[in-house]
Amino acid sequence: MSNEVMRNDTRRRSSKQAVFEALSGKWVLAVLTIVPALLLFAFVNIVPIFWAITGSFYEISAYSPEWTFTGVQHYADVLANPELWASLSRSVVFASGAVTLQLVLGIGIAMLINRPFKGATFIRAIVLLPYLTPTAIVSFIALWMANSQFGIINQILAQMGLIETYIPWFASLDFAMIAVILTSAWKWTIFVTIMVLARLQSIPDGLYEAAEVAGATKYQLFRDVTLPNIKGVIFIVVLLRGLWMFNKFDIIYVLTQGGPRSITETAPIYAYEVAFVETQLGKSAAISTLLFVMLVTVAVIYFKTLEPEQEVRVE
Amino acid sequence: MVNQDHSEGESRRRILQTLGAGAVASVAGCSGDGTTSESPATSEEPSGASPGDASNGEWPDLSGTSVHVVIDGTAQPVRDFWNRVIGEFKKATNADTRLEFVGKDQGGVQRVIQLLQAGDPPELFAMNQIDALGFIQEDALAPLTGVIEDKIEPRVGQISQNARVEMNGDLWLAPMFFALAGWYWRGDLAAEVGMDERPEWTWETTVEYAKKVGELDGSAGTYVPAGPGRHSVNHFLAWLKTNEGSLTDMNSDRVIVNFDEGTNRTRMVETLEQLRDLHAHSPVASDSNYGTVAHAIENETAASNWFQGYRPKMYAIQNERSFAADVHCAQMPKKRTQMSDGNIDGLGTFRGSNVDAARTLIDFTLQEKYLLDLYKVNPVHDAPPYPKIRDGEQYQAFLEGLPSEYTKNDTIAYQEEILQNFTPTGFGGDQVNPYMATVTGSSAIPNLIRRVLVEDENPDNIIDKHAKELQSTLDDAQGR
Repeated sequence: MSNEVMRNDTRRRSSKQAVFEALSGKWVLAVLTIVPALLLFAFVNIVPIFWAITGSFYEISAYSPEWTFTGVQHYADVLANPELWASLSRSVVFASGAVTLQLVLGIGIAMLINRPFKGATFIRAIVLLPYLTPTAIVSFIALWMANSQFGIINQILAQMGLIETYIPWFASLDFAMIAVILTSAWKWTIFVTIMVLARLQSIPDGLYEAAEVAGATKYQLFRDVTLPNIKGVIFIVVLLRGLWMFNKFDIIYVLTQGGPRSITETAPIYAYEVAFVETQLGKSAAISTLLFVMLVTVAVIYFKTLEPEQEVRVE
Repeated sequence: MVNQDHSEGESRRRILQTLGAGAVASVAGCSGDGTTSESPATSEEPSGASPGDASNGEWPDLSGTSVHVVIDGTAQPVRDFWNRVIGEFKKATNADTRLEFVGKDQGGVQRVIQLLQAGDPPELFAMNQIDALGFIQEDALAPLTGVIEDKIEPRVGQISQNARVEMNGDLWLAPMFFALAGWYWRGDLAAEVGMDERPEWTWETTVEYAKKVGELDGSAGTYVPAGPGRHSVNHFLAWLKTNEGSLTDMNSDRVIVNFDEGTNRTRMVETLEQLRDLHAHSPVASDSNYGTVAHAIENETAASNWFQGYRPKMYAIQNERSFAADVHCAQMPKKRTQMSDGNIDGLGTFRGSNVDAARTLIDFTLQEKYLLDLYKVNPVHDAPPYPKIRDGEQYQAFLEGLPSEYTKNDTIAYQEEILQNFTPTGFGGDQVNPYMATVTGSSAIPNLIRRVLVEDENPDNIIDKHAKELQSTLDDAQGR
């Protein structure tokens, strides 16, 4: 190799090295990796949130781009309106019911499919299906299955002799909220399953073997080995699912539109009605902002009191 | 007042504004129905007669002009129609077209609201008169008087008087078709229970038919929707109008609920009692929606019902039901007057959009060849609001060519008899209710209906509560 070629090669390497070192600088690396994501996040999340917060201080007709400043008038009106509090209490009922059911079923399914059995991979793929299916489609399937004329659920229950007349599940004052909670569990339980299953599979077998040698029963194995290990995941899942369910709009709106007689009209549905039936975007923005503040407050309290981050360990 | 001219200068804010317009929904967790999609509007080659092009001067050269079209609807034949029309418009004018399909029901209005808030209204939106009234009230729509009277009517004939969406001396909607409220029943079952196959429909005969047919094996006698949603309100209004009743009045500039007092209260109670009597021969139907109503006769849930449009018969034919020819159509059963209700669907444009380009597109779309194609998508159902087209050779030949189950008598009942007494929802006498979308969107009327039909409450005892509920919603909408 000639000296000229060697010099070129060395120059190339050193320039490469310089670029590499420049890119490896703490701030450069941070800017290159974090800033694009932050900008994107700000663009699709922060900007709309600030738009809504700003809009909540203005009178905005849905049909007109003109804004008139009204100060905190919308907040005063909304907070004095019993409909807000009624819708919030329905949100709490829906969210707590849905999260509890999803948690119980999700952990149960995770423990079932955690055990080795023939066709485990197939079953694990199958249980993912509702989660992968768009919410609107799951909702329409549920509506069809629960139809008061031809629904398969009514047909099965009638054939089993459990009901005499078909029940309009999503239109019954007694069953509508339960039916919506059950449908949400059908759709989102698997999220809990996936999270818990991942954690279950990382628990060392030795822990179970040692407990069994010590004479632990199946219940004691769950209580003393499984539960402490999945506790951190449960804390996170409860927080995430709780926030998501409290804010849930699509599934409820498709299934019941907030009916019958408003018994499934949760706070997001109420905000939607104010925006698109009353055509008051500013007032709707005030309701949305209040929800946002409430959820942030709940999340902060949750983290402060339960400290879920202490429970999540990296193995 | 929003600037009527298209302003290029506004574009600098539009991305941020568009993002912001979705904020109410996103903060609340509302993400819409996710069915918005866009079409390049160029996939379909023109067929049939040449649309002309910018070079021959038939249509203006709109090179560099952006034309945004929002269409409510997801059915493939509707998409095919609009793809063709907008594709040919693009070829004829060189306009930069953008065709956007959104989910049915209120999806289109919500998308337009988002665009209005972003300061970027679409050039064209297909809507009915109820939605148009709301936009007119807020000064969002641009008038179409010139283009309708000077261009469209000389070509396709005068618009039917009851399809003229007229306010403040201007026309605001270029009508495309009627969707009329009619009464549907199975004539074979009427004959089976000893009634005339085509009875003279009154409130009393509907109950008689429902009772007698309900006693046969099979379908219930009728289907009375008691579920939440606009279909429930439209159904109720169709009956209320035949009883000369109304829900609201105008008092100066304020829309006020009138069904809690005087004659209107009596009419309201009578109408609710009629529906309760009918409902006794219907499935509970508390989970009804437009789909369950449209399919009730075809899938043999019930033997008679109301529908806004011709779908009960159309579906029976399309699904090859043996009794399809026996599904008949008539005007809504009469109490005090022969009044019919329904919608007029048409095209409108918005102030702040490129109104000139929009008017050209409306003029282009409302050519006879396209209208005739549109009327073939849902035969008979989409009734022409242009008598010249309806009575013309081509449309009549199309009707003649339909399967025999469509039956001439039923087509005439839908497109002529119902039409004679038709007033679009929101219009009545001299008064127009610009907040009709709030009335039909509010849960007050569906809740009242449900309490009477499903929960068996006395209408007279609960009317006041729901009148107050509706008034409160209307006041909020009116900013009071």
